[in-house]
Amino acid sequence: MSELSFIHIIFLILFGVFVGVLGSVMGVGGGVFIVPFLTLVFHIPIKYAIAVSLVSIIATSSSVASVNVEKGLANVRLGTILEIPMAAGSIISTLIMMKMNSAVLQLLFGFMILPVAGSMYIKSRKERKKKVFDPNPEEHKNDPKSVKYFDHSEGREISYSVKKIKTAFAFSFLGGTMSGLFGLGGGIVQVPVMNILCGVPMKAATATSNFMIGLSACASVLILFSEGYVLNELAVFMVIGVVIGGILGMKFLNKTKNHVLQAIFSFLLMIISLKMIWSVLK
Amino acid sequence: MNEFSEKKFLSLVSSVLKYGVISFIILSFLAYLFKPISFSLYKKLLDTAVFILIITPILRISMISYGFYRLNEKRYSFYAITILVLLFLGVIIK
Repeated sequence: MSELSFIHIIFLILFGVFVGVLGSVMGVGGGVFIVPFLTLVFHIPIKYAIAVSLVSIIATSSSVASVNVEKGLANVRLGTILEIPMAAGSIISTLIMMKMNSAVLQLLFGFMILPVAGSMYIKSRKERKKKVFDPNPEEHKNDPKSVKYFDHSEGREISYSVKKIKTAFAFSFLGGTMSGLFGLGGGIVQVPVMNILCGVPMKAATATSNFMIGLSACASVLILFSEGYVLNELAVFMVIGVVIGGILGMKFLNKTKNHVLQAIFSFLLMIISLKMIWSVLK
Repeated sequence: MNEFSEKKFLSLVSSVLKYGVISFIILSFLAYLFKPISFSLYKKLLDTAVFILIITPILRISMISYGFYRLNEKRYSFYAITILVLLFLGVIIK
């Protein structure tokens, strides 16, 4: 790719800010937006776009996890266990992705983000009804193996016990493959698995997933970087925008209106998905 | 008495992540400042910035391995080493 002009740089940073805000408001990694943006607007080959997306996932994961780890919200022990299959899935799928035909990959990506859009829409409905699956903290208070964290919004300590780690281990491999194949974080798999299957409260599941996705992205990027797929200039300005957007999103947005944004962007994602599919098939 | 507390461990892991991102941002900013003066320096600084960001999770998992070892939770330290081995294998078998 030729050298980026000042306008390109500003455009990339602004788009990064947009993605960062969306990510922090809706709890999705930027990959679902970054990959289509780079392929459809900048006409970057999809494999290079995936590499840029993964670099931005490392940045967002690292900056958010640095806060959540210190707060004790991210479960480092559970995260470390589940990172093993996630890294393996990520490495294997990256090796497959590099050998795949770009048109097939773009088609698969288009089909892949349809369920992501669907799950975002369902999440928006759930948020509207205020129904979130959270285990009862009183149940685990006396369990010696329970994990505790202080929930500042509720003003009390939350305890929970982690269940069904073996099943979650298998699902984490799937989360890793999403990272390596499509440049997505894999949180869409990890968060429900930890929340519903393992009984981890939603906040801790989201924080732990965010902590983990940086590592799975790193497993893929290491391979892509050594093969020359990472366009450093593009990645740097996109990442700066994403980090700024993430901070803005956390500080200034009214999270009680999330469901409206989620519903809107689930439709936007469906359109992007169809556009990705159409650009290959036409 | 084990002076290496869980709180200190989590604080170290958090610092690795935080300083990884901060170093990336500072180097990227410096790169942009040097762009009109020396394009080769600009490219080198950008490459270094991206490289530091990419190795941040590796440094984080290395710190986790060390931390769990110091906390006497050798099982978790072993899991972290397994991840490091996987990352290394990924790069060499590509």
